[in-house]
Amino acid sequence: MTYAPAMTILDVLRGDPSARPSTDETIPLALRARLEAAVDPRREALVVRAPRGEGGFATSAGRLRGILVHELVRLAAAGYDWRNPAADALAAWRANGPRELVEDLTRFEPDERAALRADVEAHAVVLRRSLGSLPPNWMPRSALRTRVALAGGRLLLVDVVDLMAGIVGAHASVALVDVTSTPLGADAEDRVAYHALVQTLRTSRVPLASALVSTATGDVLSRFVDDDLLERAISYVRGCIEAT
Amino acid sequence: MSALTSVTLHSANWRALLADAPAVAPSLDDEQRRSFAERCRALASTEHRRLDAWSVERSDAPRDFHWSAMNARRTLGNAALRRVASAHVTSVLEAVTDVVADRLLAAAAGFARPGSLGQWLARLDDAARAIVVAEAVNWATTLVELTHDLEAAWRPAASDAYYAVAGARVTLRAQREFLIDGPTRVVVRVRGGSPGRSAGAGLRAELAVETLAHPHGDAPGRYVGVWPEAGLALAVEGTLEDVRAGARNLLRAARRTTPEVLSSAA
Repeated sequence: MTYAPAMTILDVLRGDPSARPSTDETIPLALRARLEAAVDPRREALVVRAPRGEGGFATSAGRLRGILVHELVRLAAAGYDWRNPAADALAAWRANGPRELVEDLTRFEPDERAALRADVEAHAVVLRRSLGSLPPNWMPRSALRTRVALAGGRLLLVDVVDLMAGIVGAHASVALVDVTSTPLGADAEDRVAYHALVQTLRTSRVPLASALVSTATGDVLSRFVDDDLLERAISYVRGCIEAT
Repeated sequence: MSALTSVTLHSANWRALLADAPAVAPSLDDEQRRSFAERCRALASTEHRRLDAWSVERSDAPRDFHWSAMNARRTLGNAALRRVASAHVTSVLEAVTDVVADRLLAAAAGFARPGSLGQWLARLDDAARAIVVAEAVNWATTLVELTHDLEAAWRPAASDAYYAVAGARVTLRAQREFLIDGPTRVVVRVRGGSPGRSAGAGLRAELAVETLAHPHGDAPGRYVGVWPEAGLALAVEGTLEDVRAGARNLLRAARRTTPEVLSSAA
């Protein structure tokens, strides 16, 4: 695991340019073919998602915190300089987000609200330190949804990437960042690999790097996307197929 | 009717889809326009209706419209693409921010009508507006990505294609994000999510509208729908059969969405 407390996530993703893997246009086609071959045509359609992480959300406060931290990622991608992170994230979510959990929030006692606000502010400090400033010419995008259908729709790979920098072009130049408000767990490598695989299948281009940031601990797991990482993702998806 | 072409967004596939459109496309004559208008007028309705690919693809009644970050992203993102294409900005974020600022200015100056995007944006607080910017940046950056390494010259669409059917109280709309000019024009429109089973019917309807809206009735060589979230593009050829099929799809949608049919279904 790469622990990079003194570097921003973009420093980590930028890495050493000479160490960047070369791109091969045949890789996406080969990955697609291998996954399609693993699907039994007689079985029902299967939806696969990234591993959820080990911490999970034991309480609605934990889930709300996770939602608000993701709103902060979106605000950062839009160049918004938050000064009151909990209030800003809540305003953003209330105006645009799904209505789930709003009722939970209205039922919170004043102490619970204050605790949530303090919690979100602590995560915001880690997030700001981890992200640094996002240069607009890196073309940051946030909350990117993907649904890649394989084998005639019998295998659906669903994913959401919290932050993506760079655009898909002739060279591997896209970096994927997943932000979690829980500590990184044993499945963090699979999660990073899965994002890389789904992005590769969606765009038919191998991204440059994939990373997972924990705003709970500040830990960063970052990987250049290479054959080994994609192989790991294939194993994860195959495991999901075999488990059903 | 031509077959629906489906390709993944592999750069070679994508470039080929835009580059090898048919060199010749048909044109609608006055008699064909008149015939379509008569059929529309036969579907008499007390209300003015707007029909588009959504009306063709969805069987349920249209819902009330409310602005949100998701449905504002296309308007703002397409306007940002026009700024990016004119090279007046250094980044997509700057382009979107400028577009939003223009809308706010219009609202503050009293030029935005009630219920407009500008009025809605003006009512949001800064953080909520930043999420709208984030969604529009996603949309515009995807368009920049799609046009990034095209060999063919492209231009952003100045607007969607609209065709008001004379005397029928029906306005047809075809979405379009950018166009490629060649021997025939290729029209590209982008949608969220994944293509459904009726995506081909929706595309042909848009092909028909695009053809009707053209001053000389010229069909595009190809009408391309892109679903970036699914990594897929579908395309229909601009043949007369496909234009006719699209017109039939619109008429079916018009029949289905007359207030009388909707009220009896409810």
